Amino acid sequence: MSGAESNAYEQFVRLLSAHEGRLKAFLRSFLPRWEDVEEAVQETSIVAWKKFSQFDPASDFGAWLLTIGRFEALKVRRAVFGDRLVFREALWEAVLDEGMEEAERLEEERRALEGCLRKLEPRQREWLAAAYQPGVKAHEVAAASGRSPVAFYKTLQRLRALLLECMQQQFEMEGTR
Amino acid sequence: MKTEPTLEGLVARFLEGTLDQECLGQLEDRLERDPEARAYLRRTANLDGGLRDWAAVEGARKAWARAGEEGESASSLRGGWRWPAWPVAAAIALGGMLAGLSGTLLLAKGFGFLGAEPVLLPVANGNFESEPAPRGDGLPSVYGGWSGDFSRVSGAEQEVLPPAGSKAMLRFLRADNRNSPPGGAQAVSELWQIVDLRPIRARLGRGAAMVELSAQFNAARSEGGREYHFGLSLMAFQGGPEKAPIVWKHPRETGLASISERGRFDEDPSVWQRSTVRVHVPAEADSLLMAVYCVEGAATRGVLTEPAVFPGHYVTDVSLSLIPEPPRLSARSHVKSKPNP
Repeated sequence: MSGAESNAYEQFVRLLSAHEGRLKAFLRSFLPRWEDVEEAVQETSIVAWKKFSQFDPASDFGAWLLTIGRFEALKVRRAVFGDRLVFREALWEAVLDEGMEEAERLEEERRALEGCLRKLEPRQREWLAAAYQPGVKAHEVAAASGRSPVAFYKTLQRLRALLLECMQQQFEMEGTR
Repeated sequence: MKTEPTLEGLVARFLEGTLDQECLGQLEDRLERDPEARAYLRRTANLDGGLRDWAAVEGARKAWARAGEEGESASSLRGGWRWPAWPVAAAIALGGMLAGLSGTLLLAKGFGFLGAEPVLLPVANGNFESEPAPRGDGLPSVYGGWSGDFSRVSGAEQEVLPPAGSKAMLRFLRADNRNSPPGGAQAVSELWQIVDLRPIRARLGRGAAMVELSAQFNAARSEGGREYHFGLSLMAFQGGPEKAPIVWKHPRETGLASISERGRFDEDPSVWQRSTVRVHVPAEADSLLMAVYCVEGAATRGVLTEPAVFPGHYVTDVSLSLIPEPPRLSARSHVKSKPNP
């Protein structure tokens, strides 16, 4: 790897690391399966690296990445789902466009998540950690916990609502500073 | 009477991937007519992604804690735990695709940095197929690129073929380099590369990262009953390439973590021997010094009078992975004194 390539690579990795959360949040809102989000992220990252020489450093890397992600998500959608379990075309477009506008806010909210999690009871955090382990389905955790699936889902739903509210509050507090 | 599902319920099932076609239609209807519902979907999806990342790291932390309690140790060169083949294969495939474009082995499944999958870290020219060829200048002074003792890139020779999927391999030639002091009797031929960890500091900073170095070795049939070994070393340290010489000489005192392991070349040139070491990398590490090496067995008998020459010893397919989430825990880093500092 030449010195110039090495510098470009380092710069790319830094930028990608800084914006990965924003990209994932953006893709997650319209791809229902997590593995498809990962695939779209992967494809987006490959394309972004291939085109990195065309990226204008004075512009917004996150927005540029999301534009690529938008196209890659469409490809994943067509390849994986056909017409099943994904949104209608018009809705898809609306979610994509609004998602791009809102991506920065979502990233800010996401940064607040860790602080919000600390406000939960240890047992609540344990539940969430179990339910969101990679490759684990919530209904499996429900069965393992000995609670009824309905009770488990209700608890999860309540915890998610608490976290969403907390994240939003944190975002708004940051905005008033 | 059938109850209308709530938006919250529909979104939760959508994100879980358990929504059926009928309910998807209901969700679509809600989303189409209500921008607030779309905003809710995006915010919930955002939370979902954040929780998945957080849970993966929590799982890793617990695994490390368990390992500490159990005191397991398995710093074996071969065998032991390995990640499931598919993410690694995907990572290598992706790395290969990008290597074709840039000469750089890059990233991994999920493009690394994301989630708790193994991530291929950048190893410049890990298969020795690209330019520039490794330099015989001793320890490298910059990130990226191989430098070390005298070696050369080769294709098939002496009954040794590059492994499947590779076109080239590196042959260790001698145990000295252009900057070696005269009159030495070195027994180890080494090749180093320094990797910049700073771009992935966030991942290291979560306290559960491990780095795995892997490579394949092979040797032509030897004559004269001499015994040769191959090996891998990894050292994590603070600072940049300028610190590498002191870290290499005094890993315990100046490095943050290190490991070095050897294996013995077998007598079968048709089979490549894969070697792997893992080390836990502290959050404050800036750089990794990695080495692939080959040892003349006479070193242990103290009979060398000049730098060792290697008649047919090869390495290729060098890869470096960041493992955010360890398995049942296996590898514990340790330092072994190097035979030929």
